[in-house]
Amino acid sequence: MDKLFRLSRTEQLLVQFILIAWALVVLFPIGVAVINSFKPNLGEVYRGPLNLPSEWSFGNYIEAWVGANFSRYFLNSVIISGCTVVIVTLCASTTAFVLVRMPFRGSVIIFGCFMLGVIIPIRLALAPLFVTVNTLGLLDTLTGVILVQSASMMPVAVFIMTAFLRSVPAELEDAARMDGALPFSIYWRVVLPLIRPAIATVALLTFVQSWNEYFLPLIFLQSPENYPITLGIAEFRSQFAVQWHLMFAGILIMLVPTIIAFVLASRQFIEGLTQGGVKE
Amino acid sequence: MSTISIKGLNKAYGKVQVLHDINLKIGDNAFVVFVGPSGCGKSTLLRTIAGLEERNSGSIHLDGRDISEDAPVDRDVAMVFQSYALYPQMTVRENIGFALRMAKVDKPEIDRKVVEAAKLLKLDQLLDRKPKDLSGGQRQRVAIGRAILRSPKVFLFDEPLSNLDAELRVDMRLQIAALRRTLSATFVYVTHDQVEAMTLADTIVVLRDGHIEQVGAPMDLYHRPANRFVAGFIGSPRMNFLPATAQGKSAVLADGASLLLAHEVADGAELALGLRPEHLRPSDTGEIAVTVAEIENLGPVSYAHCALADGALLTAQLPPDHQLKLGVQVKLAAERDHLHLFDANGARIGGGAAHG
Repeated sequence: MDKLFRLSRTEQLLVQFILIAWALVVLFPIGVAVINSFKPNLGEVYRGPLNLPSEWSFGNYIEAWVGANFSRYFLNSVIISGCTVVIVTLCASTTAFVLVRMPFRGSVIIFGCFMLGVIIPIRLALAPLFVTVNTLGLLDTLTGVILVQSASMMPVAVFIMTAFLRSVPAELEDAARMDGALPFSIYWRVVLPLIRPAIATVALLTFVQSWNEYFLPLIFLQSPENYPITLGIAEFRSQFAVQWHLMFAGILIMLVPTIIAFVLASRQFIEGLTQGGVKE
Repeated sequence: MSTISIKGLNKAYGKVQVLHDINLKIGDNAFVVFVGPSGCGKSTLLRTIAGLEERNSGSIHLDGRDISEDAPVDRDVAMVFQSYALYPQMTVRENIGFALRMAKVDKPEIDRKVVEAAKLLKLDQLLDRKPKDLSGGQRQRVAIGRAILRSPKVFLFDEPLSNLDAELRVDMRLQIAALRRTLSATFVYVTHDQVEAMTLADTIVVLRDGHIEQVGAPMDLYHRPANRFVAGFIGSPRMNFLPATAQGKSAVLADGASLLLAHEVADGAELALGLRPEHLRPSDTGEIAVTVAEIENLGPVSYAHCALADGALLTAQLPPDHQLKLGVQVKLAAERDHLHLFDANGARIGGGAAHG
């Protein structure tokens, strides 16, 4: 692609400087966490929080993973986030497909409700939500949290998917109908492969959101054995109030899956954010 | 056998009526072209035959079987779309074979038929490419291949050549004409390009605002347009129209010049004289005085755009060796036998200009 405009050398330097400075600001706390997570004892953290460890020790990670029950929290988070991602991508893409391609009486209202959901935070509906989850007998279960988190992500996901679906030419679906494809086949074989960037975007946003979600699990879960990693860290803090080196190890363990997710989905993610405006 | 019969077909989008009481019979193995300006309902009519649009009333029969309520796939028709509508994520092979895959045909059978169709369309070297790696013409051939594979009774083409450049369009037009001779099926073709319509069709259906204006063989429409709209639409450059008043067996133009008519019209009637550029030529004995405003030399022919006294332009065809200069005043003679007459409502008067 041709460059829209060319920067002069000074402008280049300025831009690079700002980008590097910003990267440093972001990387600094992570760097501090990494350095301190390898320190063998708490004393070293307090004496020189910015110093390198006297000896590099992986013991903190093992202790956090095994001793502080992090493996359990991690597994719960994987289950919650994984299920939420599957539910949201599947439900949002099918919902968007129907709303965009098979409009019916009331579909505009349904779309409007989803858009309201984008604006109104789910926390405002917490009381009725709590009653609903309780009535369903899903309080203090992973299923309950998964369903609530999926619902909270649906509006944004439907918004992204509908916007993307509108850029897919309707003639493709007409062609598939002529070829004898039923609505589900059209969705599965024709539309889904074409909206992959949108799916990647939704999956990534949903994963990061549900992986980092603290509030909803806090409300809907009570037993520590059901805690996801966010609640686990809080638990961890009360258990190991001053054990900063273990705490940092725990935080970094929590950070890894989101980084992996971003690396895996970044190309599709950027496509998802930029595509649609320009027809190829 | 593949005859289509459309009876009393009406179609509306909300309150906007787009097809008005369409009645049409399409014969076995015919090549029928729907033409008309944008928004005349030609594509909607085609899509209604395909089953992609629901009709409000009326019926469509294929070989006597009422297909109006059938799903597109059950109608025994295949369609080629304007944008080709190839599935971008699939290879040419998968694109062509998709319909058979949907119909759960055995894989070896699909492969055999795909290769057969690809050979016919000279696509056999491209079977493993994706649509994005193909040129416009190749994509169009894949789209046609996809339609062929279903061996339908009727092929529907929705402006299939409008996305191609001029040279390729001529090439593909010839290929479609050749294909038509190879396949035993009825072709229904939509275009707004009257050259495509004239060259491909056995029968042209001219549509305007959801109404059928005229149905006929291309040269019939050319020589005997039923009304002023058809006369203006068929033929390139388009027919010239001159307002005139009837006086006995003559038509008197705005500047007082008088043209002798082939038959009598009621005195004082407002007329429009239709004159094709090829039936107007500069002549000292001509009746129509004009000033040459523009000359287009195309090689085999030239066209002079000439201004009448009131500023209206007439187009006349000139021989390639004409000596006409810009700005000169000339007289144009009209061939009386090729004069078309239309009344104030645009309807044809008399059966004149029937000469081929």
